[in-house]
Amino acid sequence: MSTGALILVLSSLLIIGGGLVLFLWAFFNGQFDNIQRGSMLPFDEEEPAGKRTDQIFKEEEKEEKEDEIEEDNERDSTER
Amino acid sequence: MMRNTILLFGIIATFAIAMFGLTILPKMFIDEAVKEPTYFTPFEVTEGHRIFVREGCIYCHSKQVRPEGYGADFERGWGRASVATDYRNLLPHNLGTMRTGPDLASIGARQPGRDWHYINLYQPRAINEHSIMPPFPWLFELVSEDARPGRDGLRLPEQYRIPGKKILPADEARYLVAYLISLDQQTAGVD
Amino acid sequence: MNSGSSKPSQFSVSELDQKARYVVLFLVLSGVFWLLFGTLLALVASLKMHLPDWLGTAGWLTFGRVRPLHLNTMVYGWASLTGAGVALWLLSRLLKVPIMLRGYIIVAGMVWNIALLIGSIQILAGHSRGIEWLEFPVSTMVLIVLCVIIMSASVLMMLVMRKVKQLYVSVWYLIAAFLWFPLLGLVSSLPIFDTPTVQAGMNWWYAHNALGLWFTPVGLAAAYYFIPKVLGRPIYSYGLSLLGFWGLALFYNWNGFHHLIGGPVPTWFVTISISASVMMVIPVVVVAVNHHMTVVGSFRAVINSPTLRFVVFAAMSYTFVSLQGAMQALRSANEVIHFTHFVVAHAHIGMYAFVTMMLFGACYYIIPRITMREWHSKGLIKWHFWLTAIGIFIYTVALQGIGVFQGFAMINPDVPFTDTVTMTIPYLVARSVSGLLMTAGHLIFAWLVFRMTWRPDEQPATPLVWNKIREEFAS
Repeated sequence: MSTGALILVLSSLLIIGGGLVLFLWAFFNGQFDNIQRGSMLPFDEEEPAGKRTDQIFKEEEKEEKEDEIEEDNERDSTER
Repeated sequence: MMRNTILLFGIIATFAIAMFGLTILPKMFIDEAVKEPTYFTPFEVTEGHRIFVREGCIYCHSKQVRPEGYGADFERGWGRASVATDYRNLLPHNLGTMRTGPDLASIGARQPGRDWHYINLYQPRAINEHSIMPPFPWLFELVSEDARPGRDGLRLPEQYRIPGKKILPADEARYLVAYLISLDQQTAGVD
Repeated sequence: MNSGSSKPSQFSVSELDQKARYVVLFLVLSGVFWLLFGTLLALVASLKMHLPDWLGTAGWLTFGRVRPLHLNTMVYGWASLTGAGVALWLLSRLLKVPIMLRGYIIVAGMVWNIALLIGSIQILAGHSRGIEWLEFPVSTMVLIVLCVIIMSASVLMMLVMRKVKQLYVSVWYLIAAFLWFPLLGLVSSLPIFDTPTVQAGMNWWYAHNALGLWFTPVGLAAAYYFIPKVLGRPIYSYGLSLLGFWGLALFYNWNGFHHLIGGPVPTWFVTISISASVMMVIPVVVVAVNHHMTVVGSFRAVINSPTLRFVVFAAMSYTFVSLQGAMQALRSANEVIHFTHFVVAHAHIGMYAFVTMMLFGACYYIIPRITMREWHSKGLIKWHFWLTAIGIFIYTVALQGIGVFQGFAMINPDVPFTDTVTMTIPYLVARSVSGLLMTAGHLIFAWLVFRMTWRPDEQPATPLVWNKIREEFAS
């Protein structure tokens, strides 16, 4: 069993080491340079951030404006 | 290109370590611990195991007894805790994960009678009216009452009998029951 | 084949969608077929649990064959085929390149379907491999893995030819999934696991990882894409999302052995799995916080989008099922719930409330964009959502509720075993009712998807799907 425990510890170290190597790669590669930019990747000029998609159950245009304002206020308050 | 290579390497390495840890390491340890004995397993038992797998018994019956003090397996008379050698090297493994029905690791010790098993396989409700086990009539032969003199049909309760007919276990039922009766974990383990 | 590679410039989103059209549609339609087939098997299996003599004389329809085939068709048919379609579409959009090897993927999809058909017949005929989650014969598994390898090749080509430098978190998940799953499938098909207990170890290492390293990454990749995309709002913390990815990669693949707690395997090894299972709380909480903080305050937008209704439901289910899983792995909890219906329901929250609902949501977003048509009926989408959501809710409450009582009865030697069976029967009936609700939902979904490709009342702007697939082949 002690051999087992030893190999267990070694494997765990290897795993953590592998993760660390990858993390360092991503770090020096610049994947973390601009976190905000990473979060913008799903968006582009055609469908920019701030533009909702897929709102097909929305009935009226008027209602839309109302809740966008409402939500913007809510968002401001949560960010503060 | 370089970073893609490292990314791929990292993902595969993580995975390989887990694979090593969870499958190959235990293999090494268990192989070493068990020192694989040579089993003599009669033909009926290996065939029975095959039918046990084919009919999917394992989806309702586990075949692993937990140690005394962990769960009530011991108190229910299901035998001592299972060890690797109890499985006689019969593949696929039949450890199971479900106890819709009782554990079968020691069923041969609890129900050593073949007739009990035949009736239970043909119509479980003939043994226990609350059972929800499926019947397995295709493991049996339905013959007319006067056919095969000398062989008695299953002694079923009145409502499950078929007038003028008798029900005899076919080879598959006999193999399956031979397998079930061979399952006994009341005695001490090999290791 | 890759007509896009002649164009050096960026592709627009709609161009990418048009190129993805037939590949993704083919994979999704195949998936929906297996969803319906698997649903039928599920109903038969569920009804047989409380009507054991129903169809009792048909060997090929016995519970022990129908139930594994239900799992296999749902896992390798519906969730894998549709999941692959969704994954390829997501990668195309996020790497800004068209799906590569499209013709080959359609061939692979056809082979995959044939393999599933052969495997299904084999299981019903009694030639199951007999290992949970791996009941398909090895031949079927190997064919499926080869098909996934073709898709993996496509994914790697897309990665190399990508038009963006930075990799979005969904891409990390998907690339990892396309590397992990073929390895899992190949390792599990090797004939080296030649003693029962070692095979049991491989069994649960594979089965748990199939969920954790294939379906979970695809599901989370979809959530990380659709939640920001539909809300028009970037993910709350991109850094946290990466932490979640690496947490999953490091902890998930050690979890498998917690299925063997109390079994005839070395205790120290089970203990590692228990620790890893509890460690999974970290990536799960990270994902949950991230999704919650992104969605919070936009409730109306979630309700108004068919996609987000399903995706948010699925994301919440992921948090629930994963935290529950971490608890279940503890020895004291496992003593009670192991071997009961609680675990069956747990598996369904994972594969249904999380993975399947996520795929439904993804389909509601993807199919209109690749076919350039709107859904046939908004009302039916709402019906689909409520039928499936209420169905899986009843399923969970009924089986997990009774599962706890069943577990306590089972570890109490004074309760006769038969009582642990009879007490569950009303809840098994409730499960069948919930199954009927989900079946109705699936029929609606299949009808809606079918109507996207078949519109007799409308002159098609492009040739019919099947003709176009033939062209894609020839190109």
